[in-house]
Amino acid sequence: MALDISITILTQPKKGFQQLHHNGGVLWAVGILMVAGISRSMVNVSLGFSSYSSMYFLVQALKSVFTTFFSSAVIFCSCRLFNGKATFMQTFQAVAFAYLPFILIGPLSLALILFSYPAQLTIISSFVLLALTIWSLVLIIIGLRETQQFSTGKTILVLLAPVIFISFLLIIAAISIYIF
Amino acid sequence: MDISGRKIIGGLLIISIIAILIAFVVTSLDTVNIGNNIGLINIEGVISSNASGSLLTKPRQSFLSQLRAAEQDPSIKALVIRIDSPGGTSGTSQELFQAVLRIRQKGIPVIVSMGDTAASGGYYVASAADYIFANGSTITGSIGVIMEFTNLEELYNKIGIKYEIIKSGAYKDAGHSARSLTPAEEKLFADLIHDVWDQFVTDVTESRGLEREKVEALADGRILTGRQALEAGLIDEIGGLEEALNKAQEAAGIVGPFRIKSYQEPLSWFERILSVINNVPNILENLPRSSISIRYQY
Repeated sequence: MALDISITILTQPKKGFQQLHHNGGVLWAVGILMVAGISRSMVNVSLGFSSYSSMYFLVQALKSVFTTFFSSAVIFCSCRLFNGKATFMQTFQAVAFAYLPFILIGPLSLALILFSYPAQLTIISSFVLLALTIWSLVLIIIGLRETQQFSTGKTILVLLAPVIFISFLLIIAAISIYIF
Repeated sequence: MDISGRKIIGGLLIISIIAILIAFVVTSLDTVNIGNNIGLINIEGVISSNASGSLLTKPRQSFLSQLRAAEQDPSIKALVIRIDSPGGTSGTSQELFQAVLRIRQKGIPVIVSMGDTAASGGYYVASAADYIFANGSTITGSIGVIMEFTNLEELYNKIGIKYEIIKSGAYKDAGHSARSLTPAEEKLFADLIHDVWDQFVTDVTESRGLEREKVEALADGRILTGRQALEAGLIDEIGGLEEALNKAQEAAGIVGPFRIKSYQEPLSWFERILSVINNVPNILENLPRSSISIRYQY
């Protein structure tokens, strides 16, 4: 069932997220985050962000789960302020399933590892990663729109609200440090 | 999308998951060598054991931890160290020197590229490398040791501060800011400085393969330009970072393109904002030092 929903999300996002909203799949959501986290970190290593080891990839995957859990909580609060209809777990699932595109970078990750991170493949992978990030962002917007029953514009506003709020706090903090 | 389209996407998804799992297993076996990498470490500013950071930012990785990371990285075939430093504390300079030697002992060629300044402790670290590049006008040399005290006795008297010191031995408060040094203390510190200086000269002599007399003649604290240092044998060639990278490529036997691998984590966007705000001169650095430190510093 979850595999079926995953395929639908990648092919028909609106229908897929509606199915997810009614069926659920928390364990699958965590699994997607873990696999996508490993895959992404394998490509990030090639971009020179860090040294590599299997433990590093595993830590990055766990970090991805916790980060998404936390960001889902923030998004959930923002949704509630805008009268969203979904529960926290439904919000978390929608955000987690939006990471599905990053799994598709798997063959590229394997090629990078097996062929010792050749320079040309590294350049290609950075562009692929960028494209998947944009795809993932679009899926987050569609996912939240369908689960929270918002319009697209309202969903974008809901996602931007915490960013604007936190940025405002950071600017205040930075100015305070400068003054005091 | 029709059934066949769904099957393709489903198949791609399953293949991708299997590929990620295989990649993870392969890295777990530690049999992967990540390409032709040349490590690059920047040693900039005063050498100190303290990693800089602030209340809101994580500490920047220390030079030593970056060298350790390079030492333990199986993917690099050569290491380039870019030095732009007037030196710093003696202990940390020696630790960095030893760390560079350890990397060389592992068979990784180490090439140094000097920036504007690589003097005193900065040169100490550079001297451990296989090959040293400097620009013609680089300020280097300054082989020597410095230790300074601030005598605030008259100031204390003026503002009515009087220190009461209870000590277990004659030298326990040697160098205290409330009084001048006694002749015995001066000799104690002079001997100490000479010993630290001797270690510097010995290490440079051995690592550069120079005659001790020659190094001693230069080790009076004088600074040299890159060109003068070349004549004196303290460096190997005039050149910049580009030449150092080419030399590293040659030393590592890398044919074709290579990747430069840095060990300093990039600043996050928040840290960048803070670094701009915090980028004001630190007047505290210019105040008399309250604690005693022995420094290889120009």
